[in-house]
Amino acid sequence: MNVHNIVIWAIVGIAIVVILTSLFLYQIPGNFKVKFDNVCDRYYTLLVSKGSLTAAEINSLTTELNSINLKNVTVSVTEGGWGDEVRLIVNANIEYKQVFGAIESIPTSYDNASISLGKR
Amino acid sequence: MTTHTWLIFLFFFLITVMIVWVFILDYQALVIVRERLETNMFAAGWAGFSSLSLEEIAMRKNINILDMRNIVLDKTASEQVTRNYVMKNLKLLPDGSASLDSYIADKTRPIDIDITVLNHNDIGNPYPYTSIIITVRVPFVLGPGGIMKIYGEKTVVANYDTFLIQSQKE
Repeated sequence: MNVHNIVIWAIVGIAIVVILTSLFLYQIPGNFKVKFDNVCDRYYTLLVSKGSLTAAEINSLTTELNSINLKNVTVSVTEGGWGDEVRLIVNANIEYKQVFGAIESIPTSYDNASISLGKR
Repeated sequence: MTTHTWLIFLFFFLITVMIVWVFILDYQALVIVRERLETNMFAAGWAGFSSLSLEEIAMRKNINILDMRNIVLDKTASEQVTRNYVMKNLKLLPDGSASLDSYIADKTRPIDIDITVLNHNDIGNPYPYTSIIITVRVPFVLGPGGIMKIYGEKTVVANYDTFLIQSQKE
């Protein structure tokens, strides 16, 4: 094998690794979205059953989301007693590293409304 | 084989990998949408639990309306409330198609919603509790350029059991 061929195969090898790694990294945000929804679901159930979320619970929600690499978390809660509409809106950014080390930030949101089953 | 032949072979191999990967990513998106549908449908189902049948509850000896297991619902009102909240949470337009704000990618085809409300004492209720069964059929596109157009079906049962499960999700 001459030098020319070695150079070609090296370039091809690097290209394959970069393409396959990029494809693999591209599916990461999906996994974060499922985790994000699961955490929000728990607090949402609490909101529906009680009609409200305390400041400590909202703090805890933010901390849990930060711990799974979700940044810039904002939480908006509409509270209400039995028969009133309750709503939880959470916005966050999913952050993960791309193939060349750059940080990719993708916004995601959770928005669910229902009627409170909590006491009036 | 010459280097030239190998490079052509590799080129087609990578194209194939990328096409397969598009299908895998679309399938993953489909799984995520199904998870999100579940969340939104449960929320809508719980809204349906606010429509009590006061007449039926008044006729019972033990009134315990805070216990979702034995709650008695006004089926027509409950179905209407649930439907309204399915549409609200999925951000659907009045014609049943997804609005621009909705996470459902296919905005052109309508979403089918089917709701059944079963009180705990209904004959034929397969669940031990009062339940609201919601089924939605959502349009999906799969593959490069949305070559495959399919409908995905998701059913959730909102009742006392599933409320507890949702509250303990990891």
